[in-house]
Amino acid sequence: MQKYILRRIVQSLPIVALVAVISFGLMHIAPGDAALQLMQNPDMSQKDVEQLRKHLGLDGPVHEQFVRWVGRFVRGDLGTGLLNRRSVTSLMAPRLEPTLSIAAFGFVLSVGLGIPLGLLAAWKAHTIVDRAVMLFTVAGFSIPVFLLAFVFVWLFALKWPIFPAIGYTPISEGIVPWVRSLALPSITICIQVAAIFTRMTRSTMLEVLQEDYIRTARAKGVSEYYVYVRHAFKNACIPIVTLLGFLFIGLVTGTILVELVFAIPGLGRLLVDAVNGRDYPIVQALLMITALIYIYINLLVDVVYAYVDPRIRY
Amino acid sequence: MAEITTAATERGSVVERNLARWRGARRALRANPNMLIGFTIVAIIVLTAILAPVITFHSPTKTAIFERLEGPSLRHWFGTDHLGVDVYARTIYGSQVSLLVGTLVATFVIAGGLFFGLIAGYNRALDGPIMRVADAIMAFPTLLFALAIISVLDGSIRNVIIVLAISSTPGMARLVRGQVLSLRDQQFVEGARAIGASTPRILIVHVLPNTFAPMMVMASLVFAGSVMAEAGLAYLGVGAPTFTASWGNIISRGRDFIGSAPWIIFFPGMFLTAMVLSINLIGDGLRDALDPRLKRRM
Repeated sequence: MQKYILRRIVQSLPIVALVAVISFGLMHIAPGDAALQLMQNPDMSQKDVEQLRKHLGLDGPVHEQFVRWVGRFVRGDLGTGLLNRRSVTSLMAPRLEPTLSIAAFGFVLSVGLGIPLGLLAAWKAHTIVDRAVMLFTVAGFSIPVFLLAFVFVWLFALKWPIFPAIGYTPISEGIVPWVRSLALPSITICIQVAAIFTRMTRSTMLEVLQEDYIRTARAKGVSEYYVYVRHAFKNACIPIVTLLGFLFIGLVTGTILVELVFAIPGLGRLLVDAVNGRDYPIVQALLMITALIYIYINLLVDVVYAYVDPRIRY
Repeated sequence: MAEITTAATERGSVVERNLARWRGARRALRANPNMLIGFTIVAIIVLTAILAPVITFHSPTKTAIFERLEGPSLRHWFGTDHLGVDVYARTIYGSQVSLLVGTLVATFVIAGGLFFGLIAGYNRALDGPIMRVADAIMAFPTLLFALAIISVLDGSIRNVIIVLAISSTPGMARLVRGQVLSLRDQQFVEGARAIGASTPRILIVHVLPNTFAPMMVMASLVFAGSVMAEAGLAYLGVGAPTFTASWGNIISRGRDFIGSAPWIIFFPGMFLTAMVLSINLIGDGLRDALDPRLKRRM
């Protein structure tokens, strides 16, 4: 097992390196370079451009720039924002709480909604209940997240003012206001992910229910409830775990879109503002961090998978 | 000689199987009402896109300062936005943008996926490097990747299409490669090699047709995903320039008027959802019909 984990880590290294090259390369895909792009202002002198290049780490040969950038990144220095000259880490720090809160609620809701619905659909397979659930899932990942956000704002904040329409209340101001401010954004981002969970749960359950050991269990006289929960669901859980990567992408994409609708000062908002303001160091750092998390979530999934199901460790 | 006949019959049966699949698809279309609904909605949207100049009565970009934020009426079917632009005209013209993005991205992804997937699947030396690059690109969520690149380049429809295509190609390449790997050692491919068929010929005549079904299913996902991503980018203000009539742009403009003028968001939102939904319904139906083995997955 240790050998397997080690091998997977080694295998992930070239991908991490390529991800770094892509994130770093961002500054170089502009015609000229990022500094020239920013310097379309005619008041800027040649000297200003040079200074900005230095600030962005765009001076010297490309490979040296890359090594410098990676070196700083490894030491935890994610660069400095261009617009307000603060370090990217200090810009990110206050944004973590809102984004992580939404993501955590979104995660719990997606799993808490998706898995039971999938179980229900598998249990009532090929009936009207199953069809209704499946229709919900297709609709769920067809409605764009930001549109759903508007529907919720319109319904639950304007028509029936149950939840606040915009803004974020930190947890330090009390649990109830915090949860209330998170309700709409996290429900919004959970729908799409829950739809994927529902489908996956349903299909793996249907597959597992075909297995011989289920028939054996039934033959032994195990109650239907136990067959479903103990025998089928336990085994169906393994493939469902592989959805963690999807879940992460869904939550990242969701928070980017939703934070703008609900005016929540999180990482997604930071990213969108940085993109609009061409604040490249922030964009670069967020790009790199997200990709790294994604790679290691998938690695973790693989390891868990191999641990639970030893046949995988080929 | 025996080899050759086996190869020939094997290949014949593969072609036959493909034909049977398509016949199955036609039957499935009749049997699967969801797919028919999907095709109908897509057909309507395509028609509105083509006939846009005929069926709209206002310019999709002309502002009318005295007709701002008007609700739906006989004159303005979908109302007007805060600049007095006819939302109906913008929505109808917006379908052109969405269809263009979806079609081109899906086409590029199919072409790129085939190219890299066939090479990776058939050439052991290039397999590793191609798939590692694919893994690296796939590590970036599409929306984040597109946002980052568009922050450096300019937000134009062309750039949006290119970025979305790059982001989605690795998934397709991985799919094609997987198909190739599973087909490579099948008897009919061995047979073809035995009678001296060249590698390109084997790939194009024997392997390619068999990758078709799963590719179409994935292409439908890419199509739907790109339409949604384009709208998302426009909504975030980094997609097509704001004067372009794109559904995401209209919705983005309506953001501040959701309380007073919800129609600005409602109508383009309906079109966008209908489009994505119908493509997904078609994709679902295709998956069930073309490859029954996939039915159990997802």
